Amino acid sequence: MKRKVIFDCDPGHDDAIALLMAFASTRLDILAVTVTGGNQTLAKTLNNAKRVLSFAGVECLIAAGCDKPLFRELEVAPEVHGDSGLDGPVLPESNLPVDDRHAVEVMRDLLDQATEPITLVATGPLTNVGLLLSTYPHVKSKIDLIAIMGGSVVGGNWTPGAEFNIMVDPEAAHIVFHSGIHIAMAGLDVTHRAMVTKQDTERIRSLNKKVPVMVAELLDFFALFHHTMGFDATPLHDPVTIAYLIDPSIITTKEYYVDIDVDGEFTLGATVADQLGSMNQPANTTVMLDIDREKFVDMIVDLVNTYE
Amino acid sequence: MNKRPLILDCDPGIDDAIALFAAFQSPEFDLIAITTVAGNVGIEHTTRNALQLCEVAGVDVPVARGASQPLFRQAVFADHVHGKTGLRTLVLPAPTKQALPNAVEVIRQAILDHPHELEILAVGPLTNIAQVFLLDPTLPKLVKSITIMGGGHQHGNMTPAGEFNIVVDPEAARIVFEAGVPLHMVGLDVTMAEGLFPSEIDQYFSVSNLQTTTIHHILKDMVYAEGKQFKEAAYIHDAMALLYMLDPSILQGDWYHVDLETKSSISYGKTVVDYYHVTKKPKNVWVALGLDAAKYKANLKERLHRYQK
Repeated sequence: MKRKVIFDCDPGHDDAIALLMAFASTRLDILAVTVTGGNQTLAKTLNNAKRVLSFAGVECLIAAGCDKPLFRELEVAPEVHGDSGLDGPVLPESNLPVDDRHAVEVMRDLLDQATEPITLVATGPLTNVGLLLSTYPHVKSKIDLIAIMGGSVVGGNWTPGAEFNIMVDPEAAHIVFHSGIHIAMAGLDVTHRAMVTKQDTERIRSLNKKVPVMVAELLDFFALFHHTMGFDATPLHDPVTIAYLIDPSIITTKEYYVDIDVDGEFTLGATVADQLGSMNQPANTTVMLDIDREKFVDMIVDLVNTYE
Repeated sequence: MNKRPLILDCDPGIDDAIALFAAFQSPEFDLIAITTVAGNVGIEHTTRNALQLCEVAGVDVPVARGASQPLFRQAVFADHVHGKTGLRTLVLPAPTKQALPNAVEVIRQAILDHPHELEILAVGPLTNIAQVFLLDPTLPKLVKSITIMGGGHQHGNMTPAGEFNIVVDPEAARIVFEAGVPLHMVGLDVTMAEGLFPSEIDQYFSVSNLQTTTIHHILKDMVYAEGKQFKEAAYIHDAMALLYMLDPSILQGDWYHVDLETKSSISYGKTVVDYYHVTKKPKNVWVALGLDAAKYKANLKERLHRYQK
């Protein structure tokens, strides 16, 4: 049986690849793509989601969500994703329809109608998901898992203490991590091991079809920033969440209680994992720590190769 | 060879006790004074323990009593680890000497007497050192280096993010971390990487005398598992910092920018290491990240075996 998924994202190069993987997988049934501001402004991330899906010939319910974090101003990452949020490949404009409802209402309606559990995937700031859970807490019982790209047990990439997605909207993350719903967290601990090399990119390009070539061009651009960060290869953050849902056996995890820092001067947005058990709290998060890189790359290649 | 002038600031404390015993067998240092601070237990205990340990070791080093509580916070103790007195079940005769009344004055004078040469080893909360720097902001630039046992990159122990010595007085730690003195941080990443296992402690000494039996008693008493992923062993945090000063090759690490969190309700006391160099701020702290466990244990044993005579 296919796992039912609502995919909340802020495309974003790695979001785009994660979307393509998710729609190609025979294990996942993507009910909706909901978009938030993050890597770029909402107008841009929504446009990017539409263009990627159109380009790949995917039709799906699409909805726009929050254009800024719950209590803070939006921070975007043009140095990583370019001015459009998806610089690199030339993608035509899309005329895919966008639902009239707010993303949070779309999620609520899908969950209300659901007869089996739904998994939320969130690869951007947790604004939409946080707002959903605080506004419509009755839907919690329909959600079996929230799989996120975000956070880090050790170290941060936006500040020394915090990863970008959580840093952008720590209050939303706090709502999510305190929701009582189990979380699968693909943080920097694992995504910095989910490395795609130049050779891997060429392998994808050599599939010589429209979508794989576009993915290779996304990777070309994504590599530029990471080279300036001192990485030889490119950590492919968001796709790890999808890889985990498709085949958790390639990922090493630990169960921790994780809290979100919302008031630190240097640790704001940190995902604080109780590694030694000093809090005596039951684990709320499956924290991903390592990945079989070769199998991960094989999975990406196989999935993008399903597109014509 | 010129001896390295040293102030040892501590809160004995069972692991502090082993660090003191090792320091007393380190002729590389001119141990100017032992200064005490409230931390593992209260100041009356840490000061009395320091005096008693000097007498057991037969050394005549000034002991100066320091801060009885953190700069701005209520004192927090670790008597669940160190026992009510700070030395668990070890009972020592009452000290015959008195402590000097003012650690801050002793540290200040040591800096002035040994400008650019004095090294400070601080293995408790950093209250005394911060008070010295607050009283006279010209002093940090006269200190050669500070080595601390404290903090951690990957995790804390008192809280998920914070290590005990820093969590107890994060404001003091922040003052010391920002003082501009070259700072070497021997934190939980290495001090919990290896301990002495009960099987290693059993036959630790082949000679029995007052010192070796005292050390042996403490080591046996220290065997403890902190968190379920750590093996039951004696984790001698503070001694590792001293051994690093004597032989830096026991640890691997690098210079990073480290901020000290004091505001967060859940992460206060975290030593925030800029591991991915995202801030481009100056690298102010050498952070220990790897341990040569065999060398550490051999060096420790060699020092402590100097009591076998």
